Amino acid sequence: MSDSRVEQLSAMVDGHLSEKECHHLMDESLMDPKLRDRWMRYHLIGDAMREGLPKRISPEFAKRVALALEKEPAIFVPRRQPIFWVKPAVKFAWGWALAASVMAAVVLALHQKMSATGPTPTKTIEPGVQQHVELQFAPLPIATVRWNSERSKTPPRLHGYLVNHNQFKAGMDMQGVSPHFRFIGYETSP
Amino acid sequence: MRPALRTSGHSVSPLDIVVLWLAIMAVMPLPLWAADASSQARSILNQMAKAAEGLEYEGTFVSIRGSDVATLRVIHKGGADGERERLTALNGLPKEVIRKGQEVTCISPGDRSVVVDRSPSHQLLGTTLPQPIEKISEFYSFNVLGGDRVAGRPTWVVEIKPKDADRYGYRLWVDTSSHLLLKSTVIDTNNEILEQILFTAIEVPKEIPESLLRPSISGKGYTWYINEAQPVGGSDPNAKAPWQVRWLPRGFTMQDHQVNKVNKMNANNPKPVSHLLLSDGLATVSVFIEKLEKEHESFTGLSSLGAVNTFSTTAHDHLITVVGEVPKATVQQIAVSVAPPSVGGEPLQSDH
Repeated sequence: MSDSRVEQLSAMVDGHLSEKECHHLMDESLMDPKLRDRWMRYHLIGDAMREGLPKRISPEFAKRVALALEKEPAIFVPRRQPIFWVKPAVKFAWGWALAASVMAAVVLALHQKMSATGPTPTKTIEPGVQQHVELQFAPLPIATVRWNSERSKTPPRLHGYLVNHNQFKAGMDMQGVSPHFRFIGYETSP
Repeated sequence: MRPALRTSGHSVSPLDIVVLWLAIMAVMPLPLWAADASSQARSILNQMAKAAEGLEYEGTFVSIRGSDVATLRVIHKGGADGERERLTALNGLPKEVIRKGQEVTCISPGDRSVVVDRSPSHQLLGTTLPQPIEKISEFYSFNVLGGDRVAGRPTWVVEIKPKDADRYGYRLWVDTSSHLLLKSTVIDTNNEILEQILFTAIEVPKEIPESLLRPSISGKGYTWYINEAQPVGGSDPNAKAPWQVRWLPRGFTMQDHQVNKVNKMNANNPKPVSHLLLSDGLATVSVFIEKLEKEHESFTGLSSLGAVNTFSTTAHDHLITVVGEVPKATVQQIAVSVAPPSVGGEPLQSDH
């Protein structure tokens, strides 16, 4: 694997590659297991840096997920048949019934809200029973600063110039605060 | 009972004094009022500039530039060893900047890089106002707009208005007791806010412990980049003469010229870039000049980001880019006036 591929891969992880280049590299990584491994490793490092990894993770996790997916039966949902037999009069009655039930639900909800005097009742958790919610933390792609430009794509060199310029910015920044705050503050908004 | 002054048998009540004062103010010519507000504004700004010396504080501030918002935590400590500071980005990746005197270290976990900047030029331009503020009164006027509150503290609102269209204006919120700058905005000629920074919380503790200034990211295993750009010129008589900037707004002078490698983004292919630094004391403009290459062909034109405008053009086989907190027309006019020493001739100034 060439150094340029490694650099491209790193740039892709950092969100610095164009969509076309990304597609090309992804196609290549499908054919090249080494490139694929490196891609996964870069993401793992990134997740670890951002503290996005769970405290404990089984090394066989990915394998087990793949296995579970294989065992999962394929579910074919039968196509819903259109209800042609419903007569117009019945249809009308259905409409009224539906509207009436919605109204009843709204009135009940309002009544509950109006009559509530104490604090909102909260769900109690039985002692000894732990509620475990799995939240998937997928970090958003890192975007660089958003230039308003005459060009369709602002070259990274311009960003480099801005970093160098900011180091010497005079005057109106917060007193004593290093102008480098611009360097670290603006690169992370998605 | 209402207190009264007694003179020559006539009593003068406080109400009479107020009426007399209002009458005097009504007949006083407007410039006298304005002059008073201006001197008050200048006095506040001079006190603000002094307050920055040896300041110790910790706080959180928000910086808004165009549609981008950044929130940062700052811990700042003065002292005999020079200023020390730790900045932490509170949004997105936990990037950090550690400053020890003239050495600035930027740690970025995203690209696993550490950039150490040991450029001596930080001494040339500070992040404070020019002292005394009267130095720039030829190009800006000063005014106190009133009072406000920022981060729970009472502030004066001071306006710095440009006297021409070549530069932007500023509004500053200065703490009435400590004279700390708590909020600042950059305003264009249509009174639109382009950029603002404001503290949401600030504390001035008696002593800041050393542990708070240490980085939380070790930087172990990261790629380190050391920037030790040396200024060209100064005491070196053999230094190559910089390019000529043939048009500049009034009051702008060259502060520094150095040749360096444009930051880590081009670390794989570093090329020398000439960097001229110009300032009128408030606004700063950078002129970057480098040898023209194929990749630069689509680079020319205007770009903007908050109060920062840039204009790139090609001339004499070089790419010239001007970056600065000045209007678009100003960066464009400066860029097209840049010429090599052999062509440049005498630098021109604004004809305002």
